[in-house]
Amino acid sequence: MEPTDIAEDVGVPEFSISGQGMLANTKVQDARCEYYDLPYVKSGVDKKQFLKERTAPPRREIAAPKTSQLYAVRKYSRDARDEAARMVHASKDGEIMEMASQGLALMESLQELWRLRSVREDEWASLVNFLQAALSKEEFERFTEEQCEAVHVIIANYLAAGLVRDDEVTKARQLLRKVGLDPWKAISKPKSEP
Amino acid sequence: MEGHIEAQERAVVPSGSAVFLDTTIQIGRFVHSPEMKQRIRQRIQTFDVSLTSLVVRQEFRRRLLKEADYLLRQLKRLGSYAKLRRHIGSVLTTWQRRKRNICVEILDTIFENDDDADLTERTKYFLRDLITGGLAEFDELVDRVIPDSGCACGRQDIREVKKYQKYHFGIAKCSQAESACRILDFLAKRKPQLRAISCLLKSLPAEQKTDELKAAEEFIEMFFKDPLAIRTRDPCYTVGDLLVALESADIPVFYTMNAKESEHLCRALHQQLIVRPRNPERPDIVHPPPAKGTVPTQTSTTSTNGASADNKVGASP
Repeated sequence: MEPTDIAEDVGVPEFSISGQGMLANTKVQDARCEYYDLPYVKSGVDKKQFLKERTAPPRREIAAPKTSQLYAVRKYSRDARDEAARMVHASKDGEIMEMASQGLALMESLQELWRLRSVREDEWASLVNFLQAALSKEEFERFTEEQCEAVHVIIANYLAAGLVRDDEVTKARQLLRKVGLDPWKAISKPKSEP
Repeated sequence: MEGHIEAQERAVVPSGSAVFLDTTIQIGRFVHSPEMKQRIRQRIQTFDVSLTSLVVRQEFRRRLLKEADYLLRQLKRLGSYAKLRRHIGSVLTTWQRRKRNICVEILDTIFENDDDADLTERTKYFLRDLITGGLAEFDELVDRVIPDSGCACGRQDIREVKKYQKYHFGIAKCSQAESACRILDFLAKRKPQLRAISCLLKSLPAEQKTDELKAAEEFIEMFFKDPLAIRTRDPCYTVGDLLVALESADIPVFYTMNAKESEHLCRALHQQLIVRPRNPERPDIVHPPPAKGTVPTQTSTTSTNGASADNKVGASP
């Protein structure tokens, strides 16, 4: 192999193998050239950084939820549960206007919970999403006792309870369907073709 | 879900009047308009039992859930619901309307006050839940998924490999299933019905035969000539309508939104056909089963096989 100009300058072969790895015997070696695999500590730091950038995409930093956000989730979850409970009572008593008022208040609480979705797990956010879809464009005055009961069960048992699992989201969807509320309304055709 | 289907198989199916729901109805129960869903629900409620089948399950997975997967991938690539809408609107042609239905002009009519970031997030959640929970809900919506065809593709479950990114749909064609596919055995048991369908299709004028009916006719001929060769034809992928008709043969009523093929197949199998028009304002169209002697029963196909004894339409419900 013909020695390069740089190798001639230092009077040694271009590369040599040591016990610690491959060495590039060039003038630029001491200037911590990033293209060669060097055993020095400083270059080693560069090397690690280099590999990290090449092999793995940067991780999204997830900020820990603030205390105020956690408080807000608890508050609006509790509000939603109470509003759903009052809907059940109103429907039992035949108080249609009260039922509609509580239904609208529930929608507002759900919207606040949706805004806070980053605080909780994806499944919980998904459940909020399904509930909002199922209740949107509905006239609460026409809700039956069974429908109010179903909404209350979902909020009390899943949304305002602990960690939400995938199978609980499925159960909630089934319950909504059972009482004639459509959880897939948001991805259904808004109007049918004539 | 495979476990759920097995549990259904062990469970006792309630007796009473039964209706078979085809792929169009099952998909419609997810993505059609509220009025249409209401119509379908009302019709099903008039029966004691609702059933569907493994091939319908396979078609549901292949059509609706694959599309949801496509949309989720596009959403990830484009990063915005508005961009996805534009993409779908410009790339997909009108006949791919079902894909567009899931996305275009839908979410923003429900959540009018949401911005694009919110709509993107909502779409992401909906699509993921549809992919991961759609089959379980499909099974829950009926009293039983008829397992008679032994369609291995229909038993496949969807596995989430990476959330919002990668989903494993399992095998989609009979030729990939090897010995797990039992469709050949099923067809062997359904020879009388196959002959009845073949007779009727041969008697139809050419202009009434759709591409699917022509494929079904050719498939039946091929089956009677060389049964082993049909697996390479991927039956549940290429002649789904025929297989669904055979799976439903023991059920007296067939409910569909696709009358083109079903009107002939139901006639051959002496079933009552109920067609749900695409316009929800129109009532269901009910075709009673044909009177005896009005359906052709003899063709050259049967005579070549020398099986005149089981040549009659024997699939009476």
